[in-house]
Amino acid sequence: MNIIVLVKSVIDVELNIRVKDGEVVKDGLNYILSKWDENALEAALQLKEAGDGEVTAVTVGPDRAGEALRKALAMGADKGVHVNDPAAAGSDAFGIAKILAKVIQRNAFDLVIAGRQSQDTDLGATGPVLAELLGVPLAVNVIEIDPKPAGGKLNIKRKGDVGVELIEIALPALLTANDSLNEPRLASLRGIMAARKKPMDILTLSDLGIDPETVGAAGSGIEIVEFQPPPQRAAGQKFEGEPEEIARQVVELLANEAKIFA
Amino acid sequence: MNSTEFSVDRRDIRFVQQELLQLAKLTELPRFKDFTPEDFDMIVEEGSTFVEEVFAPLNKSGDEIGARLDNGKVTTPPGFKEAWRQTAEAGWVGITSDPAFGGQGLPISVAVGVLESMYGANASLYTTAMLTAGSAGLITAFGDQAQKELYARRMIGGQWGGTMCISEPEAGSAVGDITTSAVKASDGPHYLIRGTKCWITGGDHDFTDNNIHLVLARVEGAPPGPKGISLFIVPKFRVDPQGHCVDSNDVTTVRLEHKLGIKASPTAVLEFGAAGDCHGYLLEGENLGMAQMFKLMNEARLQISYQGLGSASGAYRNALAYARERIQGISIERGKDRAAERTPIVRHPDVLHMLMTMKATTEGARALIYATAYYSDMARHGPDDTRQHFKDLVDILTPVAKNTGADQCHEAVRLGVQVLGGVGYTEEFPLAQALRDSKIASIYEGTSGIQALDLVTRKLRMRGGGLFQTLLREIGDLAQNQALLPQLGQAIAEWRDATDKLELTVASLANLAEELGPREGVLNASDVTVYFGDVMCAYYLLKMALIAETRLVEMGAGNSAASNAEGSGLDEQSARETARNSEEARFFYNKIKTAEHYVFQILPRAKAIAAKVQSRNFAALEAMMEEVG
Repeated sequence: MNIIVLVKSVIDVELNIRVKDGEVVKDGLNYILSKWDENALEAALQLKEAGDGEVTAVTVGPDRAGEALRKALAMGADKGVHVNDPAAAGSDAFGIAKILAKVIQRNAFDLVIAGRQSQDTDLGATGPVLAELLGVPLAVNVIEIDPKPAGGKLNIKRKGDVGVELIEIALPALLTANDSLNEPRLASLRGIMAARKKPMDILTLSDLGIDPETVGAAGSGIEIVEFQPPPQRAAGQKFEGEPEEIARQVVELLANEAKIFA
Repeated sequence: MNSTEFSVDRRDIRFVQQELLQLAKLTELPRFKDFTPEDFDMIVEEGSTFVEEVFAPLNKSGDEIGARLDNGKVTTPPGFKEAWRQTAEAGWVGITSDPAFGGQGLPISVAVGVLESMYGANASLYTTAMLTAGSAGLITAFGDQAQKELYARRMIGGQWGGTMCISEPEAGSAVGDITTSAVKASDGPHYLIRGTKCWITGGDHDFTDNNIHLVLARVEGAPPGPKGISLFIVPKFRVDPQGHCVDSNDVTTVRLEHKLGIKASPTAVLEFGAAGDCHGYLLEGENLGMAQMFKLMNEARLQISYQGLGSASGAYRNALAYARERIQGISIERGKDRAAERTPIVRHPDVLHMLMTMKATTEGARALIYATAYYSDMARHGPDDTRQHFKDLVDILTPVAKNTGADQCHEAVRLGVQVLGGVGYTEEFPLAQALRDSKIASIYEGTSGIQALDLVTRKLRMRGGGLFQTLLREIGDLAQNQALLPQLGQAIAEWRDATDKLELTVASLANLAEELGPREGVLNASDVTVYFGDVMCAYYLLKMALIAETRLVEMGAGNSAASNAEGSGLDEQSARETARNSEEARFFYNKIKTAEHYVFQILPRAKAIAAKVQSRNFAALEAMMEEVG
């Protein structure tokens, strides 16, 4: 099975991010592989291990995105494709999907797996738009994949609005991964060493025959005007006195102010 | 980072490796040409995650349950065997081992970025890996091709464990007195080994199918003392050429020690040849054992320094997190105002002093230890004409780094317990275990006293003090640097003074030995090793502070209107303002404060040490302590 995994390098949100003058302060930021992408990659690796095939990790981004790709290779992806072109910067989900579609359409593929959203923008649009551009069926928020495709179809479960949906999806298809899909493996030292020798294609927009005006900030339908820091959390309320009295006050507040029993 | 879990100080490790030592340049050496700087960073980053997720969670239960010996069989605590499997399969056991035999061949100075955390997160688990890789390294260095393929390859891969069997009940620090015997067999190439070995780390365990002991023994008729010692490969199970365990090799686990710490690390007493049927295979040749063992020992001594460092780093982060969250008392500037708001204890000056001492000690030790590891890489793989220079630095700094990591870092852990107060003394927080676990570092692989003797009676005297002069030239560069902040300039001047006095103190010790005798010459050897370590830690901390100044200026600190030929106009106020703006700037600002704290609050003990040596008082030698009654 030929599997494509979409990966993205994102700011590590576990560190304190500061906003100054409407911009994120870039000093000392750490970039990591977006965590839902790790689930997507793990799913691809499990499918490969259950049968056979090849896993290709693809990213669009600046130099530092290469680190996310190297991590994917270290975890076990067989090869990487990095679209690194300054004209791609500022793309909206549609622009990124257009670029990815061009990369993916260069070869035959059976399955594309993405994270259900990226950890930085939380948009969740790239996967669905890409499925449309590729003209393949889509299932988002996937929580289980039967590793054995049968008759060109894959049995999966996804978390839907009202419960878990069991879906038979025809390949080629595009799935986006929920974080309960699996427990991503750690990159091993052997994996990192092996990754050094794995092929990595570095492409520009012109290599893909994409007009720079149609993607990037130039082709984007949206513009990020400003970042604002999240509001400071208000101070909590402190209760003093005997436990019985405190419990009474807390229950009263929960009932009358928070109205959790309503 | 919180007060109960181990976390890696990724930022400081990155700073030392990338900015202070600039390890990226190692990729220019032929030995490391297949690596990129990004590989190094990724290995340390992913290794840190591995440690936090695989090593750390087993530390507490490992301590509570410990390794056990029942009916001759050793069981390690639940989870340890699986963690070993993961560690081995991921390749971490052979992180610096020879790639020709399955190792990953990383520079030591890169690997230490992971290894200090393995020790800090779960020393019990890592000790067995360390000894396995270390003893495999002896086989790859001195073994024949068949021994390398059969034993070393499987040890480096973690399929088999490895140990170093040196001490005996009557021969510990005095290795030359060992009596374990080796008799050439009449029916094969092997020797028959007989004797009892003790303090064997990883001496027996359930991690692997086989355990390969490297045993120091005396061949019949060999010269007495250290010159008559040989080194043998003694597997727990004899193996066929394909590596299948075919027969028991008459190695008996007599006992596991009940220790103060690292309780999950099985420390065994082993009996070889109780039934007269223990086969040993000579490594290289007879009577070469001491020199071979010292190859491992010198590397192991540096490794042990990682242990104290890892413990101190973990303890510092736990203590800092606790001090930020624990509310207790009123700030002293609010006096007796009982209505004043209660404060986190991180605001109390005494607590801050302890935290800064922990930070300065840990970060100074980290820089010294990583630098020594870097010199070691350069001594082995650097340009030919520089190797002797770096070897000199490694030789003189190894005992200093070992004692700094073992003793000063242990002291930092003790301060961590103190920061937490009562709960620090309980097993609810990890500090108590860290205090117990890290104590061993000053004892094994040569006690701190042995390191001090190595420094004072060997390393400082080698080539007429030539190693010391090499080191002094190496660190002399600091005095050439112009600090931007006046207090940092004062700190450099203070350090320069302490370094000059170190030279005098070392000369005084030599005089004492010459005038009065060897006993007087070494009475303060441990003290002088502390002095030496302080000078080195302060050196690296000051170098890092100078880098931090530059970074702050790059981040906009300094008054551009005040810029003149003399510099950036960086002053304390603008540095503080910049530091308020971002975590990264705060890291650099605090780096400067750390160097100042070390120089003005820790380094002054050097003056007391100099005074002890100058006193020429030998009461400890004169007191009648040997007589009974």
